[in-house]
Amino acid sequence: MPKLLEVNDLKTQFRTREGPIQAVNGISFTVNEGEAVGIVGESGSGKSVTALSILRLLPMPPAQIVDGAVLFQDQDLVDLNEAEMRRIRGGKISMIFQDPISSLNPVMRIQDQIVETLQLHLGLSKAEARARARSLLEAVGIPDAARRLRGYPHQFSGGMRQRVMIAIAIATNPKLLIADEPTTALDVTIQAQILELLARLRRDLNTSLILITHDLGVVAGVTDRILVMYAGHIAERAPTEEIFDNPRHPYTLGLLGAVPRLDAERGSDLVTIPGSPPDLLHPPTGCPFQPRCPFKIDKCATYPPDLKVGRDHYSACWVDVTDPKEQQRAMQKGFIPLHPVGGTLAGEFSAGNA
Amino acid sequence: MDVTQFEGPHAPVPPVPEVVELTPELARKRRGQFRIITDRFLRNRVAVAGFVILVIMTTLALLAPVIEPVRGQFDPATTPNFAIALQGPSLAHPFGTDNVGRDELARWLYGARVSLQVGLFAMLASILLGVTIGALAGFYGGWLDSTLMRIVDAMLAVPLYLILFLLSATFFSRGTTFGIVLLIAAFSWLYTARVVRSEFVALKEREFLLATRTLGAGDLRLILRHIIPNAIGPIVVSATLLVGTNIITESTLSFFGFGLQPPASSWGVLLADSESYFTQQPMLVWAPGLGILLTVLAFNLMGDGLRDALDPQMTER
Amino acid sequence: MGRYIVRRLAQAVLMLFVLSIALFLLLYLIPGGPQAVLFNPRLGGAARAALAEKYGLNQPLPLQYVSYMQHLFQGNLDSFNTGRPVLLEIGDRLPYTVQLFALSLTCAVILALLLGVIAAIRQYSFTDYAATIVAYFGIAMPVFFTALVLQYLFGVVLQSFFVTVTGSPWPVFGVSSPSADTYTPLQLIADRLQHLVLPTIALSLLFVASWSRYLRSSMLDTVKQDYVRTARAKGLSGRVVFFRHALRNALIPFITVVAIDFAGFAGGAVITETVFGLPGIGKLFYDSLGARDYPVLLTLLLFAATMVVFFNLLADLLYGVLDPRISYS
Repeated sequence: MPKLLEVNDLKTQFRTREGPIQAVNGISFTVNEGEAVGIVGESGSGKSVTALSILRLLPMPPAQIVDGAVLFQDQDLVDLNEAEMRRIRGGKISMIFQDPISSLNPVMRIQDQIVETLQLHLGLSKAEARARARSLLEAVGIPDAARRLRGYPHQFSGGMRQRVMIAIAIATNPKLLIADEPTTALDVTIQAQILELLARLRRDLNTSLILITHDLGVVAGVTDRILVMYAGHIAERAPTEEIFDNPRHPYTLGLLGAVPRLDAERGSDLVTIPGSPPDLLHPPTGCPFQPRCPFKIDKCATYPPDLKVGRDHYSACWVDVTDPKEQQRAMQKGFIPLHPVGGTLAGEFSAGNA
Repeated sequence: MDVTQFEGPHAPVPPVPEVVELTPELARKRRGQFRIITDRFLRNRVAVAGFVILVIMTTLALLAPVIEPVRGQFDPATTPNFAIALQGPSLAHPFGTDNVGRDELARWLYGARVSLQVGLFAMLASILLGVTIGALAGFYGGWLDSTLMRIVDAMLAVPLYLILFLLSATFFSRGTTFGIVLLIAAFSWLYTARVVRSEFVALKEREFLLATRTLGAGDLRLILRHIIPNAIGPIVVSATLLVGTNIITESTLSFFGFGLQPPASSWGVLLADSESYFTQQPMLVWAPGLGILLTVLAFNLMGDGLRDALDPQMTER
Repeated sequence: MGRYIVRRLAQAVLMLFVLSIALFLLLYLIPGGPQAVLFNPRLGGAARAALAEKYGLNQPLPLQYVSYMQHLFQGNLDSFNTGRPVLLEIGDRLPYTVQLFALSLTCAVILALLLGVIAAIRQYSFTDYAATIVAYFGIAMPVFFTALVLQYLFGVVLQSFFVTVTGSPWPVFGVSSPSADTYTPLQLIADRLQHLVLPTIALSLLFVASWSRYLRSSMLDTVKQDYVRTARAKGLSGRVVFFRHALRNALIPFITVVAIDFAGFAGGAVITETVFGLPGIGKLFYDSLGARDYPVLLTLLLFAATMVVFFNLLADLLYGVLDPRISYS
């Protein structure tokens, strides 16, 4: 598959009174045409900032892309001027956000909000745009589209609003759709519908998708590849099945172990990864996961490079977590391997490690 | 008009380092909150300027009975001297003399006392009344809330100066300070009541109140010990701004002859006296006028500074 | 929508009803009671008895209220001063006040929009700071003081300037020039406008200051909203995002602010008319205060309150129309 988007060593910083915060600290990844990539991480890991950096939607006084390149269709988006960037936004690359309630203009009709982007990027006349808006609403599964076009956001339910947002985003047939926590604010049942819609649209329109979430369950069914982010770095990247079947980064192990399971023993505790994300104002040298990591060795004081651990599978960790000796050592620090997920190694941490 | 540079969407906020310390430190954290607010206020240079001006004004006003004898002037209301009437600023009389020969600076200093007194006391009375009514309306809701707020709305429907002029012309024609304070407070509590009520309505729903109630706290205790401390921020801001408003109200009343009357003299009274002499001795108008302007400005700057310092959502520059 | 209007109208009428009762009770609180309020002090005993009969002062309180209201609305109250019906006195002067109001309100809204929006766009720029400083001063000056200062500035300081440039000094008092009878209609309008300039500035300054600050902070808040981010993500230009999305949304609550300040505007009009000698109903109120002309005072009070309630109602309805989230049931 040909490459669509290539992010190279992106570094985004926020200037605050107390000093600069490194929200994204040198990440690199690619998205191929027609591919769906998931970016998973806790809040504060830098996943949203990455997406906003690609589209340069961050307020540039406090925020700054200090290094790196974002290559899209032979252009470095970081270098483009604002006018050129605006052509990309909403046209070639679209983005949908987490909270559909507040992301739609409350006093503007749905129709106008869709027509706006059609007129801007496709140069359609008002009539043409309206007709297309209607078919877009139908495509995203909103019944009675003709009537609902003239409605206002508050007249739609949460799931429907998100469908409207998706309709706006795909209106211009973008090559890439970035979805930042699109289902977090929705009910679980609606979540499934929205994800299914995204998957279908991706296939029908051959749009690439970047799906950002903190919820592993969301990416499991939708994405081809997953990036796991922690503290502004990419901890692990691999095809989706690999992440679930053969996780190699300690943080990924923790994430997978932290997913509540129906077949867990009754009375077993809910698992968390003890400790908290690092203070991005004073990022530690070396691997940011050290304080919470049961696999830590002295070498972790130097930041590990992306080590290849499988086909198209990279983990930024010095330790081989499949090595039984390392597992023994980690178990002394409180690491508990759970019933293996598909035959390998999802783990559970307990308090009092590292 | 270049509109591309205005602030775009809020960037996601980086995580705050977790507080791992235990309860003994919690008390220190509370005091820390106060320090944070003070810090933010102090960083706001404009607000600090307002505060400084106020300190100066208050000091002058408080010290008037001390300064004046030193300058050889006693209570200016009793020492007319037509021989030196309407003189311009000089060394002996830095603000000049008024139309009956009294030293304008002395009058100004005493005027400061009265203006500030009226502003302050009217504010206190206002706050007392406004907080009580606002608390009751916001806390109990229902018909009490509706009735009280209807009364508030009705009272606000009559333009303030119209009713104040009428009442002071008919009732308070004696023009005592006490009367004016009551009169002004009788109407300025309305704004405070609204602010307090909306704070109470918002806070009422918070969980910590439910928790406290299950521990057996009664209504009064709930209001006094729990809600009011949390609502204190907007109340303080409102109170600060209110002093400025009251000073303006009092001076307007006095200027038109409805508020204070001699021997009580505020800046408003000074303006009433000096209006007709504006062209002859402009200083007589500028002095009290700028006094009002600076004082009210200072209260406004301070009030806004407090509001910004207390606002948890203030974005850093 | 119809039900909403009816409901709000009913609320407004109720409020005016409550107010009228309060004003009625005021009659009894004023030293001298209703006799002092309703009876011209120059009347003798027999006439007084007749009036007492007419106003039903011997009847129980509620009936008194009814008869008082009746007379008020029918305009049967006569001014103590001139003996003419109060409504006629008001009618004579109303046009001047309406002119002042219309001019001031329009200018205030337009200027506030300009200053507030520019300050928000160019946050932290020199323009922003300048506008903020001007606004702070405007809010801190009492209206009467602004009026005095303007009179001094234009009438004394700049007097020679105007005389050399236009041949006559700038008017700082009154509503028209002495030689107005000889003016052509066009000159008359120009003359009137010239006399209204300073009063308009004096009356609007406070509101331009406070409204522009409100708009500035409202715009800054709106611009941080999620839907503005969505608009930018669509690739819309800064201008479009600002005007079509941010400004339009921020203007809707602004209507309420203007409506609430209407009462303050009315009070300011009284002050302005008095200082500048404009023969409007504001000055009528002030003059009647000195003369204890109660019929005029009470009628004007009720009139002012009615206007305030009416304007608030208008603003509410407008808000309901513009903001689709407001339901009308």
